Amino acid sequence: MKGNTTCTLSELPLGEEAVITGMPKDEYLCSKLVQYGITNKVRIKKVYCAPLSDPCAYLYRGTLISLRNSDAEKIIVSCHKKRNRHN
Amino acid sequence: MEDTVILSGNPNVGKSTIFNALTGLKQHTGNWSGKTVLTAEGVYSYKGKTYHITDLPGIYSLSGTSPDEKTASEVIRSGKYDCLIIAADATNPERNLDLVLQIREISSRAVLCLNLCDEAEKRGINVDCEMLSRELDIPVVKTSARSGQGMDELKEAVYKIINERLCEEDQRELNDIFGTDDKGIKRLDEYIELSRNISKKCLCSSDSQIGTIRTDKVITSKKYGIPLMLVLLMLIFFITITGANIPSEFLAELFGKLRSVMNNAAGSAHMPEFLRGILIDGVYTTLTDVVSVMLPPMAIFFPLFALLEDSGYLPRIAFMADPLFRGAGTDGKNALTLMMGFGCNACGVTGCRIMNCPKKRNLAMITNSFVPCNGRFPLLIAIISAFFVTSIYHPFRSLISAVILTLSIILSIAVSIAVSGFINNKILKNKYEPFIMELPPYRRPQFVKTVIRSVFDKTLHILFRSIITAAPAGAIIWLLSNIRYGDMSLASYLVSFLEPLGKIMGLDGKIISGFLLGFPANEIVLPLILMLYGDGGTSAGNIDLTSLHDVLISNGWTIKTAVCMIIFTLMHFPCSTTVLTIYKETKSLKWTAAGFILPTLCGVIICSAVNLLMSLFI
Repeated sequence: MKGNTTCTLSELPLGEEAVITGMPKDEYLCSKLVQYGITNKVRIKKVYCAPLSDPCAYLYRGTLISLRNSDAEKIIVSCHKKRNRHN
Repeated sequence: MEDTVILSGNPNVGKSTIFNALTGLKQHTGNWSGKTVLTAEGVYSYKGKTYHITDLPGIYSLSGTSPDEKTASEVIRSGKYDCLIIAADATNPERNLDLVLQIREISSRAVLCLNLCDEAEKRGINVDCEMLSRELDIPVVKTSARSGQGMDELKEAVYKIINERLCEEDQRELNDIFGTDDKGIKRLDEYIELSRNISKKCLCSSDSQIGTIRTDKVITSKKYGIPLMLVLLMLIFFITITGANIPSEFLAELFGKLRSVMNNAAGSAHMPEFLRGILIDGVYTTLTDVVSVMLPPMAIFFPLFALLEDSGYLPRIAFMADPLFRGAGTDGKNALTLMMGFGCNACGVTGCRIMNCPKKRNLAMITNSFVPCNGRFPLLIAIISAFFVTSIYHPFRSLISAVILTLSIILSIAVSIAVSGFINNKILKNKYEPFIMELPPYRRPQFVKTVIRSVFDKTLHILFRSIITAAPAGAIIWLLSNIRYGDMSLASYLVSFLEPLGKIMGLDGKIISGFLLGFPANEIVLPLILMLYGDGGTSAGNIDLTSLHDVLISNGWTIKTAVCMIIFTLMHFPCSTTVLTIYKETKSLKWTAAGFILPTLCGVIICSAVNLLMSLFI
């Protein structure tokens, strides 16, 4: 696919869907996520955030889950490149 | 011989409902992860045979690490059962299949129970059961346990597995399959891949979470999220407090009448005065005081809370409140255990089981009693309305007492978080712990069932526990105030011993004695203090707010006393039931002692500081 870009899950814009390409190096966090069924190749979408912008809710495999930004930033995802207005 | 059946599955797929539908037992069901915190057991019969069924805590995989997850996966791995029912959510089968596939690898004596089928149909999700059954090579049954639909089919499937496929013995070498090492994770990866493929074949669905997400975008939005939460909480407290007054007064009056009947009967039966005193003035009065102030608010608060729980709103509170608790080493679920603590600290402590991480759980348990429970609310309200607002023109009274009460509640939450943070960061120096929580779909609460169950499960349970502590306490208190040594009662010795400490804290010896003697239940603290002020052998009985104000003033209360009293009410040792519960939950004397000493220490220090400051400036 053309124009794919990687970023961390926490940087993923609201409403965007992406595919997980890199799980956290932190083994403990990684095993926790895997137990919830979050692994490489899983499609995940950021759907909404809590009033203080953290944590955010993600939809994957039909399940809604809450992740803190500090945990989500350790997950690498690949998503379509869209209007990159800021830079 | 009974056949044993195990009920397992992901959290929040309606296992408890299935369990209730099978056995007719009344286990409370809630709409969030981790409701079944202990294994529940029951019995049902089908075609003349009796089945013993165990409901396990919900798990996502067999390699979980929390105590509950371990218990559940150990039972499943042990193979000591005749049939395993795996409950799965029909509205979201794909992720549920991870666990199904893992269990399937250990045992073929399993049946997949696709629950919540009514909900799935409503949302346009259709599962091809025959295809799924072929893929998994175990029977698949569709059920909606809430309406009892499919339960006979489920029983039939279990019956068939036990009676027709009994010869199959199927134990694999398990350590190969589930290590927590790299290999284990890789295997899980494969399961996830597999479940995706299977669900692609068997499932026709649209995005099942659209409704829930749409609702959440309003309910947890920046604009409405927090105001909505606060309004809802205040509404619950308002309904509880105002609604409890009427039945509370009715009960107090009823018990008062009964008491004079009993006194007359004792008089005409020539009962010895000592026996009459200890039974009626001691045991009966304390007991009925506790019942009449405690029963009505609990009977209102717990059903309301259970309805919120059923709807799926509670995890949203945890979601929104998480940033508040992060620095304290716990997480958003701490907000929920504190809320439960407002109902009853013992319940709040038990509720800490929803926190999967033991470190967070212990912290949340020992800081739970900082928030005032239903037993302390009436005390706070009585002090606030008797002391701060009697002189103010009527219409503003309830408003001002509401404001002061709200401030006290905010103070209690802040202190709870601060103490937890202090212990976590300065004493235990725990490492950062991630917080991952499922946000379950909203469901319409089952109104009648929920209300009835919460009354029977929680309210009566706690009432019973406080009755068994209040009765002996009543006897002890009566003895203390009636046994004389020299020309003073034992209680007076206690009071004069505590007087210096009380004075430092801006209170007096009688107030501290009241709190000490009220250890069995905070409900009796105010009656005890009044009794000590009256220096009589009996409880003061029904006192209205204006006369309460006069009694307190005549005993030397000032605004300073009232402020310190509120602080000490919020921060002192938890009641005996709560202390016992902390011990049962932690099985550690160290944590129990911490749960007892911490709030007391905070109370003594803050009261003394406030007393000092107020003496300097006022």
